[in-house]
Amino acid sequence: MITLDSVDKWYNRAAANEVHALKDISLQVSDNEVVCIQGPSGSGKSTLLSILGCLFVPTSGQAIINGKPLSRLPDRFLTLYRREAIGFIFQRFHLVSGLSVMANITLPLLPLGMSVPERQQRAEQLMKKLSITHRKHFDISNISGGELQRTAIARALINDPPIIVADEPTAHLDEQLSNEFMSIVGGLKADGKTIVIASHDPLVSDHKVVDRCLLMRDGRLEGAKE
Amino acid sequence: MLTDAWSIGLLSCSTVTLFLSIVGVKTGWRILRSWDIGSGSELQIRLEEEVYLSAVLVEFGFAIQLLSVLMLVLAADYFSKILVGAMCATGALTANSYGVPALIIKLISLFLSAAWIVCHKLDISSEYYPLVKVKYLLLFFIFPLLILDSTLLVLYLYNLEPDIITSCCGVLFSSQINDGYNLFAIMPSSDLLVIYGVVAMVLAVVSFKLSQYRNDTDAVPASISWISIGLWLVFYFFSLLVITIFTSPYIYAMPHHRCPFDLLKSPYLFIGYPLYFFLHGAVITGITTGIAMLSECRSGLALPAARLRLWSGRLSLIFMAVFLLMVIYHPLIYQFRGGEG
Repeated sequence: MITLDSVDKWYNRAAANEVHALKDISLQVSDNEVVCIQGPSGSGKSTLLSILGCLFVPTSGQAIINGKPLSRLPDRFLTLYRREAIGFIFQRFHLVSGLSVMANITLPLLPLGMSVPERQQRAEQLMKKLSITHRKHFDISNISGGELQRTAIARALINDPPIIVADEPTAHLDEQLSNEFMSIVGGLKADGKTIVIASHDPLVSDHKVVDRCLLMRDGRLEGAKE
Repeated sequence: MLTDAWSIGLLSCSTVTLFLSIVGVKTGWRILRSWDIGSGSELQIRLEEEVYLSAVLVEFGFAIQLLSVLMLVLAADYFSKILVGAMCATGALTANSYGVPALIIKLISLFLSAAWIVCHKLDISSEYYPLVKVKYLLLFFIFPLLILDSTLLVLYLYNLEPDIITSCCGVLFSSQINDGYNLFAIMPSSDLLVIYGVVAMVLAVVSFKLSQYRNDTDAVPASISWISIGLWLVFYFFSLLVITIFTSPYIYAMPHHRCPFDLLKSPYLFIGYPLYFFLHGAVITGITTGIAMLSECRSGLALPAARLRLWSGRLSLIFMAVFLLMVIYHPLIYQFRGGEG
């Protein structure tokens, strides 16, 4: 369960370039729910997602993940919980160039001190599930956009987090790959994951796997779009 | 003497500690007034973001304060070469009326700073800063002491006159105990040894019990922790007396040479360094045990505090044992060999 309680987020507070990115946002996402957050560019979707994913600390209010106010924990504790609880899929993937697909996927396991065979075994399972096994030794600069996307998804899932947060995951994908992505999301939902996606792509928001759509405008949640 | 390298070093340490403490006091004032971990207010979140950095700065300042105690003693030893009549740090510290108070205040602030660092380490071992108010309240007690410490230091260094003859060793070498300006000689050594033995034994038993205690049985009352901390301070005080009055003449091989500082010099193989290291180590880890025990009841601290108590309790006993062995080593050798030879 994810709960946002009266969350406000300011950037550059009291400066000439201050931005009130989120205004009094309260939101609940149940376990195993797929929620899509829609809204125009600059409406605060990414900021909201970053707070849900505990990457940002709200200026006021709380983000409570599984009963714990994660966003408020000191960094050294937050890092541990975030690693276990949340998987991120970024708009631009943020994969490490120069590393292979396998190395990128196993990257989050390095701090856990897991043995190499165990890391590889986990990655193999995910690559098989996401149909990228044939690219495992390829440098990520040599694979297609869809394969990049699936590598990013595999990396987000390698720690088996119960929550997946995806920011504009289909922004750089064509229609076929976007559909593929949504079918992967369906599979994750079937595995019991809670998924929050920020997207203005109707292919995502209108997809049957999405349980609820929320509309954001000017830093406010303007209500649900069923 | 304010422009001497040692003086500049001491004053720099003092200034840095004071400055970093001011940062802490500023944060502390707002924490004591407004801290509410359950609140999601903007002020609370800003305090949570600020508290870690502020506490790290104070911790750094206090670490410097711990080092500056040693620095003051070494500086005094160095000054004794410049001051007429002074043969060791005692002479330099008694050269004016600010030296000994400066040392005493530094020693008091040493233990308080160590206690603060322990509180801070415990506090950040939990997710919700359970000791944040305690540690900043403690900072408010330490801060005036730091101001006093800096003031005394400046007065001491400013009033050091190389031309004025001081008199330390004439008194320290005296056969009488209470006949003059001796830093620690306040009672006959036989009485002192009896009291010291009793204190050390009680402390060893209490510390052993505390380090063995498992908090899944029944709770130890807070008073035991306070008694343990008090006993360590009493032990420290008596240890300084014993080193000065009882042990040091055996090390110097001169019955009337009672000085706590000459032990740090090369003719005595720098024995003072390990001796004082183990003494201060024992007392600081002993106090840590007491603080850890007091913190175990705080939410989120049961496990880290218990772990710290076990670790510091055992370490304090080891340090104390080594220190006591060092204290009695020379007198025992003297007794067995029947003299110096």
